[in-house]
Amino acid sequence: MLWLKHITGGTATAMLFNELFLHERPITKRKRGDTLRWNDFDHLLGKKRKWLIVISADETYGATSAKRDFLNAFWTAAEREMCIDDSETEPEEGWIRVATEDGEVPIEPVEGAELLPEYTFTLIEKSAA
Amino acid sequence: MSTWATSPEIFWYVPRSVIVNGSQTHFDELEIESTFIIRTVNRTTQTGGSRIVGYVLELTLFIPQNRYPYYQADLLALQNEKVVDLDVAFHFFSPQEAPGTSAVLDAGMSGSAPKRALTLANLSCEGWQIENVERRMRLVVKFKGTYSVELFKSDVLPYFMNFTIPS
Repeated sequence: MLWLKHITGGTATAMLFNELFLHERPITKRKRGDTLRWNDFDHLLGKKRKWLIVISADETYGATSAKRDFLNAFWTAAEREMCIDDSETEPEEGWIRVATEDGEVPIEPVEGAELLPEYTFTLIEKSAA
Repeated sequence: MSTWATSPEIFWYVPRSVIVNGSQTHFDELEIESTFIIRTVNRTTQTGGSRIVGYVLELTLFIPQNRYPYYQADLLALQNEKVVDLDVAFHFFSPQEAPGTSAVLDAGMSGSAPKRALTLANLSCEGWQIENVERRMRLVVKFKGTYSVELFKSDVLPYFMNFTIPS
């Protein structure tokens, strides 16, 4: 289960999702090159985590869906956080500040049915380790 | 596995009148032959499993004789001798949305309907409102997938359909 939170206008709003897909991948940024004596260097600048997330129509169905509204607000919010936690109540710990890519909200209707919307997006950890 | 998969007779209670985008349409005398299938919409999960994320009712309407030109203006799609397909994503009906109490269905005709027949565009809407349910129509149901039978349990479509298993 996935908790998402956005902070808009100083107000934090969190919601729990039963995601269809949540796949974590590590990503790294490195400084690479070779020295004057042709020794290679490979310096790790930092590493982060990246999650591919799919929240499907069983969570967002219907023309008036609170979860759909939340995801739209999440996408446009300045500050976003995520937390992988099965708790039914909002967890106090484990939140990770995340970023998304630019662009319009990543929603696509499943099999062309507008009332069965599905969100597919990537969250990237903001702080490098 | 449910016994419902043995092609039960389905009686579909046709709304007497429907409000679509604020325009009321009466079905009192309209003759329509209909067949439909209900199928699941499945998506693959991260673990490779399959999850049902929705249900789609594929409804085929056929009007053998359009003897009611009065209604034709309201039902542009339902012209004489024409067969049209609608995709209705009705996903979750709640018991609180009972017809007879001016039920509002959360999911009405889906946006995919106009893709199949442009003349259906005027029926595309966010939801439709059932004012009364009186007439009933006998339909032949073809099941696709074993999960579809779950739809006919009492908490899903009690207000649209009544069903009997052939003895």
